[in-house]
Amino acid sequence: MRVHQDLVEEILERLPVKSLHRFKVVSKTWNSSIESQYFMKKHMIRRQLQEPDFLLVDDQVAGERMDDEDMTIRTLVLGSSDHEAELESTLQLQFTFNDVTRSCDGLVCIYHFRRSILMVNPSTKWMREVPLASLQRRTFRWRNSGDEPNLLGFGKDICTDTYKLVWLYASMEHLHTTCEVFDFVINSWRYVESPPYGLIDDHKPTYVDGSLHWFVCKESSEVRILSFDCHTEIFQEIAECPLGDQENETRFIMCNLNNRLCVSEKKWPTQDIWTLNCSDMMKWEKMYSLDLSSCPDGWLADGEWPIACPLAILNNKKLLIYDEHGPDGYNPNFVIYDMETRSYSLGFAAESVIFVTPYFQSLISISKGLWV
Amino acid sequence: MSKKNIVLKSSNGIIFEVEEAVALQSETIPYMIEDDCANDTIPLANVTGDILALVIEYCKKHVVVADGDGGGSSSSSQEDLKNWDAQFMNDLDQSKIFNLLLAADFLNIKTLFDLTCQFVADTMIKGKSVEEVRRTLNIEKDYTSEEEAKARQENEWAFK
Repeated sequence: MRVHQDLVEEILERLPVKSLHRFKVVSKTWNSSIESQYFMKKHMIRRQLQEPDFLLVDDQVAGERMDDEDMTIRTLVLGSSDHEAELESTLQLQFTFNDVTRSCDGLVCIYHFRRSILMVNPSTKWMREVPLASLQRRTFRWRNSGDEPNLLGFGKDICTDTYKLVWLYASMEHLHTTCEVFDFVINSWRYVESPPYGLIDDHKPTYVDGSLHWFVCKESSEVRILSFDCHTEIFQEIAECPLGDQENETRFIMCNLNNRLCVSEKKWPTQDIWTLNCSDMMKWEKMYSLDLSSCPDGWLADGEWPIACPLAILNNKKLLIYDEHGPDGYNPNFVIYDMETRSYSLGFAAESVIFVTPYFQSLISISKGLWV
Repeated sequence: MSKKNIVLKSSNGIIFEVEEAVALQSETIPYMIEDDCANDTIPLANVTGDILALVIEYCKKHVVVADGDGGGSSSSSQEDLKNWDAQFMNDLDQSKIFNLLLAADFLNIKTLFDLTCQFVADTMIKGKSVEEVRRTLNIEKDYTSEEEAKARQENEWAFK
């Protein structure tokens, strides 16, 4: 039985990245199919229609502390309700890092505030080093203030299919910001005009559909949301953020659920989640209101602890929440909330994790000068 | 609304009479009806009788469920349908599966095409060795031994 290559590609689109790398060896025709930009993009789009996996980044292996320079990336696959969660080792690196961006198209950026930036596709093991931003070169800032800079954002210009790193950070002047954008095509950073706001610390920029978003404030303590269009490179404030004031920045969080911008706030025993409805006059709608006190003991941290992060909607009816603290502050849990029965189940208990991001594995890489 | 029947004829001359709603899950058939309005029978030159019987079995099952509860969106019927699909595919041998894939492609029945592609990917390709895949899909090795060794080396991690 001979199958035409068009149909072969339809079948290959449905395979995981690791199998595809193995099958580059099948024939030259298969190799060129799998390596073509067209195929990579189709494969990625199909993957993104399914449910995400989750990347777990850590500096330990199986509970044992490694050298300072080591990091390990694992993939958590929750599967459907009748499958056990699976955790597989994806990548180990010698790299000193402070933080990892959220994933976009299967890529993440791992970086150190002063020393280095690395783009990684954990599924294909592809990596590309990125030159330092001006911010990282100005080391005097850290000696003077002792502050850590705000966190780096990673997103895509969806009009041109080009990726960008966007670093929005506080200027020396009160309530002012500076923005640097890294352009992968020309391999350099440049400044982009950014509006005067105060930035709220320790919140990762959230990428949704071509834009990155930050929590910001002005003179009053009211929390606002600033968005950056990765194509036009223009900042814009999103109206009427439903959150209260920024007194306690550990009690609210921003996330991307089903490709929509969401914010969540914890007011023990309730955690509310709102979503921005872009088609209806940019209105915020309350999606869920969770009663955290009805969650069995030991899965979610109580009112004393920071908010747990909504990670994904599974099967259209279950909400996956990641609590990096767990009951005693040290046992991160993935908890599944069933919206129909309003009950909780434990998705996965992680022994040690520094950072988690929803993730769709892809074949994508970013070479200099071109999209892929 | 009265139910209209459509007559399909396989490549080996076997006739199937089906309800319009069953046949119209194919996006190709409507064009054939328009092109061929004088004749009541639609000839399908690329599909043999045994495969067409399978296609019709699939389409009948799926049309019934879509009618059954006004949209077929309830989760239990979705679940039933998924189980039925899995059983339907499991009962077929390899050659039938490939012919069904070709028929679903030709007749442009999206859900059946998705089902067969995914089934082939998951059960006949995904966990298999390079040699097994070549055999299953009848692919000639066009690499020289040196080229193949190099390709294996470059993708070594994917073989572990």
